[in-house]
Amino acid sequence: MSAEISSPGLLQIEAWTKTLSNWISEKELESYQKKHRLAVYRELIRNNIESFLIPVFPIARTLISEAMWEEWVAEFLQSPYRTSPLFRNIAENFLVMLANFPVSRLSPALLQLMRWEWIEMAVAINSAKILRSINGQTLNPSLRIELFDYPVHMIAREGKLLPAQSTVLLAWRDCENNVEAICPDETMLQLILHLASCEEDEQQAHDTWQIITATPSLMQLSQILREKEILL
Amino acid sequence: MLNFIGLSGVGLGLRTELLDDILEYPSNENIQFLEIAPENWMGMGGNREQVFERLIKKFPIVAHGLSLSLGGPAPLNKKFLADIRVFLEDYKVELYTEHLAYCADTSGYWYDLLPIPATLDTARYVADRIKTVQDILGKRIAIENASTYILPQGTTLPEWEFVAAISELADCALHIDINNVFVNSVNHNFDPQQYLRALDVKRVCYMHMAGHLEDIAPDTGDRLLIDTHGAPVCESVWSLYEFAVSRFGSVPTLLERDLNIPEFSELMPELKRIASIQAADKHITIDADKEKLFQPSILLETENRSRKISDDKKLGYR
Repeated sequence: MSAEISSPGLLQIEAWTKTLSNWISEKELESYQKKHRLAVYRELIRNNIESFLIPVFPIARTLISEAMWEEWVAEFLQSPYRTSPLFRNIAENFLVMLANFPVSRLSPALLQLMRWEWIEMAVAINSAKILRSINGQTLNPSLRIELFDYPVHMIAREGKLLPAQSTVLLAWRDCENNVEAICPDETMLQLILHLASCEEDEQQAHDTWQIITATPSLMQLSQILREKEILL
Repeated sequence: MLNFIGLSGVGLGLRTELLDDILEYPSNENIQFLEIAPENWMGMGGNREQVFERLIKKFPIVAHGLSLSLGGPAPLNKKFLADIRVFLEDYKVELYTEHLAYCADTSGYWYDLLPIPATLDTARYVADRIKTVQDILGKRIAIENASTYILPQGTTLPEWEFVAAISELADCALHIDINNVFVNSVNHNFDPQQYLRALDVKRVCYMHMAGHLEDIAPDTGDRLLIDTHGAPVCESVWSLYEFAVSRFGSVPTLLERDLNIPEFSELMPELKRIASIQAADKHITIDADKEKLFQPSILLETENRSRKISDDKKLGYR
């Protein structure tokens, strides 16, 4: 954000907002007589940010110590990642900040778990319309194909971070707007990737479906994808 | 009861926790409209979009923004404003209100409402930004007085003079939060009725009612009221609301409850109390003045004027 053409009013507001942001971020509030009142602002801001983060990262939050979590939130408030006026983007921008942390501060497994938790939220509110089509040959527009180095979908069940294991996960929203996720086998993944690659090319899509129709195992697989509403 | 821009009576701030109850509730009883923060609903798909579409079929909606940062030092976010305009037009929302505060500076968004110094210069600065917003939205907006816990350095005007000056300079409507007036009157030691007497009656088109929390500093004994929206409305705020209705008329009034949300039925007595204060209002002539603020012909003039100004600017650049 750059400054607008300066006016006396803007200069006064710039001076004040710099002072207030320093007061909010500094631990010691010696320069102001009513420290109690400034502390209220600090608390309100932190609580508000947290209220948009914790529901998005429910599993990761249980694996992060209170001190570390507080440090991250405080760092976010001093970071340049507070770029969106929309509250739902706070979690995404928080993740962008964490992705820039060195491994010594944040394990890749935890970062990837947080990304997976965020994807579930992103799929839930994605603006795509999920409508059944006549031919059942259209990929669900909310579908996300995500590659991880860890089995992030199993962490909730295990209650701890797990060793590295290359993992592909699919997440999508069904026609009733429920978020679904699976770990596809190699054949399912290849079929979906192929269908995705020919989405823009009508002729290629037509040819692909001719092959699928003529191949019983692929026909069976495409029927499973329809039942799961990955194909609409 | 005043009725303009398609609104009258009593509204409730929409909370996810209350969604099911609101969707089941008859639309002609104690709730005449709902208020939403557009930031929480814009561009949303899935269940959220479906729920919103059900709600707007049932109730008129007021959009109460949180992220415009009218009093901020960073340039207005024009992309965000364009999205707001689309949202208001798509859902036919007549009234859009925003806070007289800032929530973003040159370092980014703070996601909370922070106070600005009240001076003649800052009043002009904020009013210019409101005029820009009104030009972009093609619509008169209302600005809401915010609760504050400190008086910003450099403040020279009492808050009521600041609010009144901005509304005149920007030619905008006023959304008066009665609880915020009361909270600030305690926090900064002024007479809340004097505040309300300073405002132009015809500009006040909408009011908020809410509860607050009292906090006493353990070391200094400093008494501070915090605008939590987490408790029932206190008797002092009810008295101030009666005074406000006697002055501004029974403008549409919203009950806010954002924390410690009780059972839906427990909100009914407060909604009914607002309605009964409105019903006792004897104003019959100021309706037209308020309606005039939102007349399409006046808005069209504003829009044409702004178009002309922007055309002139283009000419000047050539």
